[in-house]
Amino acid sequence: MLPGPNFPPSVLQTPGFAHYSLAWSPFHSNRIALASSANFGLVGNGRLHIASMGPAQNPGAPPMLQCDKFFESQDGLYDVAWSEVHENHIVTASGDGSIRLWDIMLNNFAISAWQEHTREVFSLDWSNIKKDTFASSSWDGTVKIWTPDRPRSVVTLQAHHSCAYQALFSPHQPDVLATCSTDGTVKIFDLRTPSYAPTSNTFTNPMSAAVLTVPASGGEILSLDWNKYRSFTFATGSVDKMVKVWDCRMVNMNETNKVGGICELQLPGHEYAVRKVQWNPHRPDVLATASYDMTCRVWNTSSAANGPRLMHIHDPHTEFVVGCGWSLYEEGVLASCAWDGRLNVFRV
Amino acid sequence: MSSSWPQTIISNLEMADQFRAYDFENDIQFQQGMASILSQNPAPDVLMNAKLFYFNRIAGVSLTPADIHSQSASESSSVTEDTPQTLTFAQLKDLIESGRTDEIPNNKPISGELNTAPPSVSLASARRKPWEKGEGTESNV
Repeated sequence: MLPGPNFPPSVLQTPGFAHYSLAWSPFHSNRIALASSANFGLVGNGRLHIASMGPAQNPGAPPMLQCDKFFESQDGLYDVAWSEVHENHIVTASGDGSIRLWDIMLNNFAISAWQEHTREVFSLDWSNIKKDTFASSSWDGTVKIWTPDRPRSVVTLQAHHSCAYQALFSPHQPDVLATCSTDGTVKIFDLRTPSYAPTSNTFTNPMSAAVLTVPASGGEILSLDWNKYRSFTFATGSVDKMVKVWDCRMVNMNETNKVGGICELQLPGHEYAVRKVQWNPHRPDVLATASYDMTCRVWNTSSAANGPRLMHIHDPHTEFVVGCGWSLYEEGVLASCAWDGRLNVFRV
Repeated sequence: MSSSWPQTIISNLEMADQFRAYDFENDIQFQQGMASILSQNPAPDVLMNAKLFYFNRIAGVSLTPADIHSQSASESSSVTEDTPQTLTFAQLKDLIESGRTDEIPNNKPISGELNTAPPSVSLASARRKPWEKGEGTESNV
């Protein structure tokens, strides 16, 4: 158990390896995976770290965070997603366009590898509803859908003409997926009706048809997350330093190529690009964000709130904070990871 | 990109030198403590954290791994072989721009071969997510 707020965080340092993403195990409450890259991801190897929270070393001290194991990869690792069906399986996204599936009980090598993306794979998401399926998004603009037992991807969406930074399955509808991109849009796709947009040139520049395109920012959108309690509500984080909450309940799944989305809340405060957003899995109105301004922040997004939106600032990091993630089973516990090579776990 | 890279503190640099020179191998108290909390061959960073925890306590300082990996005050480089080096962004940029990529740390060939060992057997059953708690049966909506 972590002590209450205002205690120092539990810290794990991975010297030489800057973090790119973290993920809490959906099976083991105290286990965290970290995707990392040597030399800030510019050149060199990657590492997948498997970390766990132990008991406190002595009374009053934060619990010990330790690295149980790591796996090495040729290129930097940018994201990681735990399997929803096998507690020891985990997929990683790499800068060389490859995706690897690891069994953390084994040593050294991955158990499967896929090479289809032509540029950096930047996000992975394992479906919580169709538990045999995961999605990847890449700087090549595509989103691919995979099952671990097949040698090739199941579906490829030409989602954007520029980097697709993140793709995430809806927590409520099994075939609905949202993406965000360099092009400043969030798109919602229905995987049951894959087709090409009539406005695109299907010979030279085909584009998959989205059911809804949300022009969410004038700049790049680096991250999004679906609200777990309110259907078709999501948050975005973008290079323009803004965090926004979007209501897209007007979406009609029987139509395609609609443009819309209602911005119901804007959360200014970060001083540089917002790199990651994640809703609290236990609450409909609490959002965590991570930014290149070296902070991780927690916001109250309740429409009934009159007080301050900003609930907490976590600022011990000394470099870009690139990832944050809520503990799935211990309410109020948040982890952040950064280019300073530090994973911090703390209570908000 | 960012202009603010990790800061180094002079006094910590000096302490970091003492840390590097410290004879952990022959410190019985440290070795006994290690044996009681860690496995036979702990990962390098686990070992480093344990050494730091111990050293900080006996020396009354608060060094972090970053202090140990940053440039030493006396330019001595007795950092253990398997401890990853860390370059600053500027140092790295220089190496890349001057084509000296062979001097870049953590840039070694890693085999892409697949594991031939049999995968582990899953024993855990899926846990319901907090937002699925109110739902009657198995999956969703």
